[in-house]
Amino acid sequence: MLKMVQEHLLTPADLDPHVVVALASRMPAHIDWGDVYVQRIESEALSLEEGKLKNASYSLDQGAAVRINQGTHTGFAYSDDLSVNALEQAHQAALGIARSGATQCVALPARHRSVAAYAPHNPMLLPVAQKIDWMRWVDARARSVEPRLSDVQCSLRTTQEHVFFAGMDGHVAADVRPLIVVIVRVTLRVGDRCESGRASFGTRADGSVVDEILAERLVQKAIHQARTNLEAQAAPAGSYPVVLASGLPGVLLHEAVGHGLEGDFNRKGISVYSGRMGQQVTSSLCTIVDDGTVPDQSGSLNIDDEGIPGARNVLVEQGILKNYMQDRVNARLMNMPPTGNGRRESYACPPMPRMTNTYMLPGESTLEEMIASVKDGVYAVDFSGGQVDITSGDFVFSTIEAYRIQNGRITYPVKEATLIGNGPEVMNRVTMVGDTLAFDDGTGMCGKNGQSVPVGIGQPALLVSSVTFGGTEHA
Amino acid sequence: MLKQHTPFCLPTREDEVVPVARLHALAEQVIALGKKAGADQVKVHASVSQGLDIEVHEQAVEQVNFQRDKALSVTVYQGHKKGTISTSDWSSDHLDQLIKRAMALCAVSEHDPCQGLAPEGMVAEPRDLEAFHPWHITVEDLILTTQELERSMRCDPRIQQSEGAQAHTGVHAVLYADSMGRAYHRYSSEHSMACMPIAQDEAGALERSYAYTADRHAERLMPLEALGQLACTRAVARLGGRPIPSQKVPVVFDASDMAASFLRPFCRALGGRAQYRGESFLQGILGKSCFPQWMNINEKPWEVGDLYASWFDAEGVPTRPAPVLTQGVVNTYFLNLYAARRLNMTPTGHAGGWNRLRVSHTHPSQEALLQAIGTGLLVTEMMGGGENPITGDYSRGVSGFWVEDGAISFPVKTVTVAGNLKEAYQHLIGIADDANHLSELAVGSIATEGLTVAGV
Repeated sequence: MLKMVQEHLLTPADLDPHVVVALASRMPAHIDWGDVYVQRIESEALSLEEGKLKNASYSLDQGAAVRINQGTHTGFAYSDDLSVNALEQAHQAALGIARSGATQCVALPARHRSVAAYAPHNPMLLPVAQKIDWMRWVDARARSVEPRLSDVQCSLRTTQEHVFFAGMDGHVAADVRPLIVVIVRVTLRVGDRCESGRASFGTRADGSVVDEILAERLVQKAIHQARTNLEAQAAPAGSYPVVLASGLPGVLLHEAVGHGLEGDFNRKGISVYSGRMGQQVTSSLCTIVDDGTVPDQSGSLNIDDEGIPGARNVLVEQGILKNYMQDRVNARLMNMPPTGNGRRESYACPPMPRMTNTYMLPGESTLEEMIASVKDGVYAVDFSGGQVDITSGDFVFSTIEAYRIQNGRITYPVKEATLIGNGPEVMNRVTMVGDTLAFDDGTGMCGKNGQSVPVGIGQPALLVSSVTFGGTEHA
Repeated sequence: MLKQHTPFCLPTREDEVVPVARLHALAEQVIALGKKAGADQVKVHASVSQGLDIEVHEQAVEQVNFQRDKALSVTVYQGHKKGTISTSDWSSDHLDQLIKRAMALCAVSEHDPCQGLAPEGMVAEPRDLEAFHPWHITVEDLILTTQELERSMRCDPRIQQSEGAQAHTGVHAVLYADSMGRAYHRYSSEHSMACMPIAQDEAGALERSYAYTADRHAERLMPLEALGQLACTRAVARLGGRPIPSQKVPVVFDASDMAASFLRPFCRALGGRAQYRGESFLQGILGKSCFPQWMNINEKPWEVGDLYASWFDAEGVPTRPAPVLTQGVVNTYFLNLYAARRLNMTPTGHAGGWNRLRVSHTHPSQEALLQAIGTGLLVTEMMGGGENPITGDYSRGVSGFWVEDGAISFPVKTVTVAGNLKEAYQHLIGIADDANHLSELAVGSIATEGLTVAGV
């Protein structure tokens, strides 16, 4: 990995890794932590709509950042110029604002890990002609399955990222991160009604996964969603039991629990989960994990952006709060070991605690049992995203495919709606947990403090006994 | 090689951000490379940003971040096909490779007669919008100012904690140039400060809120004491918030961020792309009414010193002040070159979005508007993105205040408002004269019946 990164990132920029390592270790005695992060991101995107390949673009970005930390104080400077001179300047700038005086906190060691979550493929090598053929296949197939489509949109983005990290303690790490993201969107027009449906797939596996099987699956899913939404009726308004399908509805966990367990919020004591370590925070049926080791998932990390190996961290075990997600600085300040959750959107941003792949372990119930148990409620299958206020714990997530349940049976599709609740309250109302874990489609992006990173989410099917469903039909 | 005044010092002059000659030279170089590689037309965007971000928490400095970015994006056209590259690296040897890559991508893309640069003769008249006002402040002093802002939030004993206070100062240079000889540039600055207090009630429950100020001129930022006070009042007012029963009641969206968020789908529905694809919930609305007769919206892109002013759009097409909505009737779509050609209309200078929009009002104050509705929900914060741009269906998580007999009664949270925007826009009750300039949509508190609250 190190050799590959040297070849593709450092050598072309005339940057000697030893120089980077020396710069990282050249820190005054009172500094708690310093590091240098060098990154190169290359990406190609193609998009097809109205039967034509309309957009074809390529981007290349590279740079290096120096980060100096002392106590809670972090100085950060970066440059998109990889010359030694520019790095020296960034080093000076970051150092210039570090204060004197040592802290008493000592950093605990991270766990060791040797198994990679993804291999250093280069999706940039996927031939353009092959990508275009695949997108044309999707377009033709979708139109033949559903002739009433007014349009098919298909986009395919391939990215490869090289990262080199050097820490003040001599630690050196490197990673090569491939990512392929495919999105299919169809618009269906029937009479004067028009609706869209979407299906997407993201992975760190190699390009061979972009095949006809994937195309068929995405086409069927997008068309199904458009047809369903075209028939959708007004959604209920008020508190209802909600059955969540497995997979992408795991955005519930990301918002209701995940963000509130990020180390920076808890170090500052401003999260609804602050000071609750060892307490019951969810129903005892829930075991929730943040796991950077899931093979090929977009949220996985061989190393995080602070050189710490990605890891599987149990956050909540049978309802009891066990761990927060940490970056180096907050781990040290909370006297906890780092967890491999220090992430940056790019070299131009300082790291902070972020999720990787956040999911719940399966239980013992079945989806059929859950639906049968609901007299008047909703079955939600797909979501567009969510948001949370980690201080009050209130969170939302918005459906894009959901159905009414009446007397234990799915009856009719309902329009998109936003669900709202309080994180700990809603999680304590998880009364059934399904037996089959599924992950999202691999295209989830999480935004925090202006930085966006790819994340994975997952869960088995769940029954939440009561949550506010934001429709328009109230009793 | 990009030259700078002193590395990581805040620039005080335009040429310290980047000399304009450097921008023009880069554009000329790129255009020449494109033409040499066989392009019929070439379009260039270049930008440089420098800035400083300070974050303070409980008076300790958390972050001091120096920003220094440059970006270049090039689109080459050949036979109405196009290819685009973007990079942060402006060095000559890279540019050559990148342009070749752009041409290769252009070759695999498909001919579309609506693609291409603005027509000959469509030129923008340079205007001095007085957008560049660097903040003459040292890093140390900006830290002190931020710490002072955080202290000014503690004006109520129930504010026991802080999420922090932040300051940002930045300067930018932007260039648009193309192979038809257009070359427009703009230097600008923007500064902002924000604070996030956390209030606590007797039971120990926490609520957070925020207040922020932003302007191109540092002197015009809201004074620290007033800003801190505002944030403190907002956070304390949220204590004891609770859900309410589901019901259909008038909803008022607070000025200006909430009101702008409520109105923004209207602007997006006027977007050329949504219109030519037939995917707008206001399809074909030009010349038709979708708001009450008393409502007007005017676009003012040339207001001197404004955060949302520009004399050229992202395709080098001139902007111009014009009505968007007159007596409830839509006057224009927001068109870029491609959409204009698809719709057989004149480009409106909206590539990249709309500029400053000013919305009329019917009531002198928010108090007057609340009295007009009598009973309902005042929304002061929203969460989640539930908007369907094709149908206009709308569902957002909200918090705010219950209004009874025209006055604020108690805080509300953990509820949603939902409905269809076509109806909600037609059934507006009124707009207050309390707009601020923070959102690009300068609109006062706006009241509508036509939305349903979902709660307990």
